[in-house]
Amino acid sequence: MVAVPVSLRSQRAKATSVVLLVFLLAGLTWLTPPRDEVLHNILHHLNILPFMLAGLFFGWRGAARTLLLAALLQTPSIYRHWHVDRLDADDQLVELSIFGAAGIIAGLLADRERMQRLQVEETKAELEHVYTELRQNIEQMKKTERLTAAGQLSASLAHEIRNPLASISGAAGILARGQASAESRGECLEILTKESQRLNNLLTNFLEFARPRLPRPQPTDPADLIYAVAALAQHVASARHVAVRIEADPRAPEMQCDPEQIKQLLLNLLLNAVQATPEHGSVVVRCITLPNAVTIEVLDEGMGVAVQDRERIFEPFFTTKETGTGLGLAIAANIAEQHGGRLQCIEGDGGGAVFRLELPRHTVAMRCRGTGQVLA
Amino acid sequence: MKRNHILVVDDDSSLRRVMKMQLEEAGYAVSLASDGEEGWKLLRSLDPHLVITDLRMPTTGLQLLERVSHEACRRR
Repeated sequence: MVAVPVSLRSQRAKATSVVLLVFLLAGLTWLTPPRDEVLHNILHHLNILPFMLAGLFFGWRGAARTLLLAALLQTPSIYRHWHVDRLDADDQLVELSIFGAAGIIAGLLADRERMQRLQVEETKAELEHVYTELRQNIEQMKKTERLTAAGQLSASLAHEIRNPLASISGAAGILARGQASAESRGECLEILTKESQRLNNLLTNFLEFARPRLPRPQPTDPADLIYAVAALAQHVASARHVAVRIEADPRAPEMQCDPEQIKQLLLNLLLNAVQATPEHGSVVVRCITLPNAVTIEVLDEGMGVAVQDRERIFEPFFTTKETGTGLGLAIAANIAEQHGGRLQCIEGDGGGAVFRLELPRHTVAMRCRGTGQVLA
Repeated sequence: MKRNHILVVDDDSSLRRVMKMQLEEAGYAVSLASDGEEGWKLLRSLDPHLVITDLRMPTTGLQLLERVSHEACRRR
């Protein structure tokens, strides 16, 4: 047995019922004696049913075919009423035509509705396709953003790795030649141990910084945080001859935050500020501690951000840089939000931009956007 | 015979010590400074034959080089 799709089976059932109805009405009209005018009247009016049903089920073409079938089948009755047993045959003809026309109009409307539904479904499918593609692109761009940040970091990392490596290879060379005094040999061994440890610490810190993970709040010294970030950005800043000045009270009380995430956020702001500032200019990182909040501002000497763009720069994919992906500040704002704080762009006194990060000092709970997870 | 005198200026202590050992092994007298400022003072007082300096450090090597070339011009 051949399996028939459900939709096709129901279409066939509808067609059969319409045809049967037409046959039934034509048959009853033929069988009803002409003198029973009331019954004839009812039968004639019932003709509207198959036309309307055909119009709704199969559109105007269905209604037209049904009208043709009904006219064909009822021709004998109409002929008989006209010539043999006189009855209002012209009335019968007019009614058949009007009901047929109504069925065709209903069919046209049904066709239009069906067409619109089809269009909606097509648009929906297209939107779903675009949405999937967009999501893939976002993933790709996030990856690119990570790679760009990794590129800048690796320049600093390379610089940080070279010095200990030079010490290690120098000390190993002295030991290998075997001409050094006992005191020098001891010193060389000490240097080898110390510098290997330094490299290990450097890589551990770097991996912890580069690997994305959920926020983990812990007591953090805001000044330490800022100095660590400035050290990371130092390489890029020196290359552009931009000075980084830090105004932070080293005795400021500790705050609750995820230090790695806040470092990532601040590094992003600082690198942007360095890029925006002309050569031989300076960037200021200022930290103000209030009883319940910590405000960190990054001030540059660039062109500033236009008033209409100050909200939009935090939207994903909005960028004013030629090579930017527009995700850096969006990620930064997200981190601030997760900490129950906020990140804003305001105008600086000298025309440059000021990015102000406000964080609560005591975070009770941290929201993790996307997963709906609450981190105590 | 008086040994040739080299001044090494670097902010990385391990690197400084290794260079001192290497240069002493090669037969030079070596003095050490940890930044450009200290390097300049030692340069004035010790008058070494050669200065080896790092560039990226507090009071940069470039500033030290500028001062050295000014001094050289003045002496001429």
